[in-house]
Amino acid sequence: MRCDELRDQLMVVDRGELPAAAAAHLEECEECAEFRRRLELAAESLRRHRTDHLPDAYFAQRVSAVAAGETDQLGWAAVRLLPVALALTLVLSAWAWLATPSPSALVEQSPTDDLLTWVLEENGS
Amino acid sequence: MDVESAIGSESEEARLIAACRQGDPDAFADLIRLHERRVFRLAGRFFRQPDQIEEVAQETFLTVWTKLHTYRAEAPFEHWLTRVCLNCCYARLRKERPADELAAERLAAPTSDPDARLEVEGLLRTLAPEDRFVLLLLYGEGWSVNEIAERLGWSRPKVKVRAHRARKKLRRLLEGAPA
Repeated sequence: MRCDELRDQLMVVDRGELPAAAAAHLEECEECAEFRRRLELAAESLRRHRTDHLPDAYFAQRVSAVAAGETDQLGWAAVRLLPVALALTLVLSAWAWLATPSPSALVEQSPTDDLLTWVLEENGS
Repeated sequence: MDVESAIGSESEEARLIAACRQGDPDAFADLIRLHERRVFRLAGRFFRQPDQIEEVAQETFLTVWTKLHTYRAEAPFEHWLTRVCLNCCYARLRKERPADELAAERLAAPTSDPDARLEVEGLLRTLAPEDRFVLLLLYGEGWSVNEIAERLGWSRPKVKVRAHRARKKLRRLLEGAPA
């Protein structure tokens, strides 16, 4: 087994049992044995890499108050926005009603005759 | 309500969740008390300063409050909460400025093996937030690639790529080459 292969295995199986060939290589190769020692130290250090900071007795109360405040704010924002939303709806409805032409107006504005004339002229030429 | 007696009681937890969905802040405070230590412990894996940990924990619980309607009781609440917390940690890690992290590392480096500590602190500083995140879950929490993918809702290939990259840097560091 080559050093490279062994180290590939060590990186993945850091705490598992090594195959016999890998164990034999480690017996003979000082550099790989040192590599393994450093890997184990680094892995242990990563396992311990944690800050033990616990919540104080009022943490839950504080967060709950913030949450309740946010809900209240959202509720009040909705109440304040309600008249604006209603006014906007009315304006848009009025605009849609005014902008929609009546059926009789549509007939009067119909381009059918002009279109027919244009088609006939085009075909005629 | 006696919070101690509620720990471990799924029905009590379900009652609290239902009350929270109705907007009951007292029930929410009790729900927080049930899980706050777990959330602090998980956040402490990624952040070194107490105020960072507390902010992430607060963000986690506020997300729970606003997104609780999306929780389906098919899996334990704890799993859902873990995912919310990890996502908050991940989002914050990505936003952290390196200078802040450096200052934090200097302030609160662990006091175990000094050689390994220096190597690991150095390595973590060189890793992209995504890779650092995965490395700490692999070695710190002892989770497998599959477990990380499942708990974060990430794809397995994504976790594998991150894990491979982080391990490669760790290996180069241990071999003495620049990471």
